[in-house]
Amino acid sequence: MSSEKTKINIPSYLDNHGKRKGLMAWITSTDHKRIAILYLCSISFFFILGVLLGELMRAELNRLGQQLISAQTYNAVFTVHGIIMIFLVVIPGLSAVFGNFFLPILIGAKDVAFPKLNLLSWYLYVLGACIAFYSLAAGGKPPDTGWSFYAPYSTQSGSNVISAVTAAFILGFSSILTGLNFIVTVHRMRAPGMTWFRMPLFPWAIYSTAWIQVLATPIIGITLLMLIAERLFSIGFFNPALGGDPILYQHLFWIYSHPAVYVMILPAMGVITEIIPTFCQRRIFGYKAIALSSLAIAFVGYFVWGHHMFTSGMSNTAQWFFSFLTFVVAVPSAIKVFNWVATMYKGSIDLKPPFLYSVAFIFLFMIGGLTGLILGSIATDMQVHDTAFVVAHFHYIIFGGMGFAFFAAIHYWYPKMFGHMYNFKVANIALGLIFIGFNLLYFPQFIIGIQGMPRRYFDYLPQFQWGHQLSTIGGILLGIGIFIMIFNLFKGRKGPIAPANPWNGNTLEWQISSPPPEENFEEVPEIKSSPYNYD
Amino acid sequence: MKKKNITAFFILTILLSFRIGIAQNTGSEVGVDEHLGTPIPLELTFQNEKNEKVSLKQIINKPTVLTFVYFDCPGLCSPLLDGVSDVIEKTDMELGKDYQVLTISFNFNDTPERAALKKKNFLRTRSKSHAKDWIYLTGDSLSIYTICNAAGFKFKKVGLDYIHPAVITILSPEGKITRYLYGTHFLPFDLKMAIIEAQKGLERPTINRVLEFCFNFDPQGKKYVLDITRIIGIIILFFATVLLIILLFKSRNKSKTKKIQSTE
Repeated sequence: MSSEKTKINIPSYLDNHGKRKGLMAWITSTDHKRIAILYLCSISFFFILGVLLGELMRAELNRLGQQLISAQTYNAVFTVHGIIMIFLVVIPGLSAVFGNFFLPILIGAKDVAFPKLNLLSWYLYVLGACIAFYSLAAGGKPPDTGWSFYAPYSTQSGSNVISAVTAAFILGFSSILTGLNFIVTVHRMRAPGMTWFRMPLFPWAIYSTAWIQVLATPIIGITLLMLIAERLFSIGFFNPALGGDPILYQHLFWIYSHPAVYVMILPAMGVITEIIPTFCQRRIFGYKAIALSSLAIAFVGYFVWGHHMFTSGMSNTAQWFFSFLTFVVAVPSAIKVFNWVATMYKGSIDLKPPFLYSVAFIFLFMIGGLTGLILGSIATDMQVHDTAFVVAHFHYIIFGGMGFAFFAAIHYWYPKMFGHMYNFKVANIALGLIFIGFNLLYFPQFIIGIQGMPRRYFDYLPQFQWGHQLSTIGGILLGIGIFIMIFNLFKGRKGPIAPANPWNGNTLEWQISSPPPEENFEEVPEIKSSPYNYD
Repeated sequence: MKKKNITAFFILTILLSFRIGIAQNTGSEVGVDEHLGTPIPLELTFQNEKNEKVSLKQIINKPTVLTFVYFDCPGLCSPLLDGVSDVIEKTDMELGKDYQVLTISFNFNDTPERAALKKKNFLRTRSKSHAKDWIYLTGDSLSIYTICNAAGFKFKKVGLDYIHPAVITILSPEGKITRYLYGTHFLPFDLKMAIIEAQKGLERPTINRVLEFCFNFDPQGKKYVLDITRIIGIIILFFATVLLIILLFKSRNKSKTKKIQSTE
């Protein structure tokens, strides 16, 4: 990538500036754009790996009985799929890649507040990823606890739990440092004239996310340390045989991991909020409501973790309290959905791939969100807890939400990041396959889940076979779609040169050349109005 | 970087303050060592609740749900039997035809009379009409020791009571261990799968291993743990608040000039 020449006069961040050349010039660069590309490459690699593991599970579940892998291997596969997808792909995903690349540009800054810290975060990420790999490949069994490492099993399992947990711990630090960096960047580095309410909405979302990262991630760090301490020194935190409390683990785990869901989904909402006004050529509807609803989600999202534990034993008061707050947190999400749709109303809509990916996001996110309410109300949750219904809901939110937003973001900002354009037709075909495959893969799981198919089982009763087989067909389509999409984007590097503002966007990143110059702006921009003035 | 150092320091302090390794280590003595695929000794003899001497060989001829309890248990044993009784009602497998239930007391002081009394307590609609297919056994210490050892069921006597895990073990018609289901509450789905597998003699590893132990509650210990989480929570919130206050109130220009100097 670094050797690539662009035909624009201003040297871009892709051209070499320093003394070092080739790969070294990349992995020692403190330029926020280069670090974003480093994240993009590593995250794409792990995403593909996670997809392959997911497909392996689908292949196993295609038919009754043992097909390809044993039950123990299946346990390891869903655990590793979870660890890779959650800790290495989804949590860093949008904020580390697009947050790093576009947050400084969107607020008119030259870089993030602490560029070196930014590079350190990436190194921590790589270190965490290496340790995660070690836990799979080293002697002994790969971890088999599920990505949630529930105690007391995780304190007793004979598999490589400690190294997997250490990996998650280190990745947590990467997340905290990135969050800290972004908070300071937003407070300190905004261009002159860019008041809080003149800031584009993607930075608002990243800012809210960053607070969650800083406040919630230490909790999981400490919890994982307690787990390691229990395993190594038999200190009874979670294991009842040692006088500990396994429910305490669940509380601590979800106090982090529920806000972490918002770490995943808030930047996704931010991306969609950028794309929709551009492709409707219309001012975003309800700017302040969207900005503040990000903060509201980040805040209320802290107090809903108990809805993961309705069946684990909790007082009635706690149950209705958590259930009520779960319904409350759905409100700001709904505000955003209404505002996106209202923005489209009477807009001059341009059906380009980024917009289509965004519409797919809204559709899937709504299914995910509404089924979330089924899980958030106690009575129905009792029925579907730990069934395939939860798996389907979760994937609709995380993959249908964050995943599709990631795809939308890469299609939206691709010409800016690389200065070239991908093929629209292929991008649309890929979207079609991904969308159909996705629904075929996960929708049947809602139904068999309600009928009683438990999650995390490698085999099932004959009455669930139809659902599993449909799912597998969906999995194949989805895999092909993803492959075509990645191929198209990869090929796009050599595609036609993209203009500086191919979508006629109004935010700051479209006012500079593509790909952006090393210092982003030739002179510090002065902001005089809202970022979405299309009228 | 600074924050990382500070966090590392606190982690170290907290770990040291536990005085690592003092905790009583009962974990390895109580629990379940899974012996999947191994047969249990069928020649062992016990007394059934009608005070007849029976060998396991005579009893086990179909998939069998094996439970270990003791009748004076103040903790998990009654909920366990309740769970078994519950799942018998719910599953569509037929007690007596597709499977049977075997409850063995691991307290050698328990008698057939007490077994009969206990049995009466846990019979419901379906199990009542098939009462002969839920057999309660008592025996001498050697037989109990042998069968528990073979099943990997490890318990420990503490005072008058026992610390023990809550688990049901599924045996194939040939007496081979094919599955362990943990907890006191069982899904009809799990039981049905386990019985079908046992019928075919397939052993399957445990999927949901939520181990529940009878344990003497240690309020001191629990408070200790909660205090740790509270302290850590306060530390995190303290640093976050300091960060926010600095960002909001420390003048921006100062840090900006500093930054320009550092980049030059």
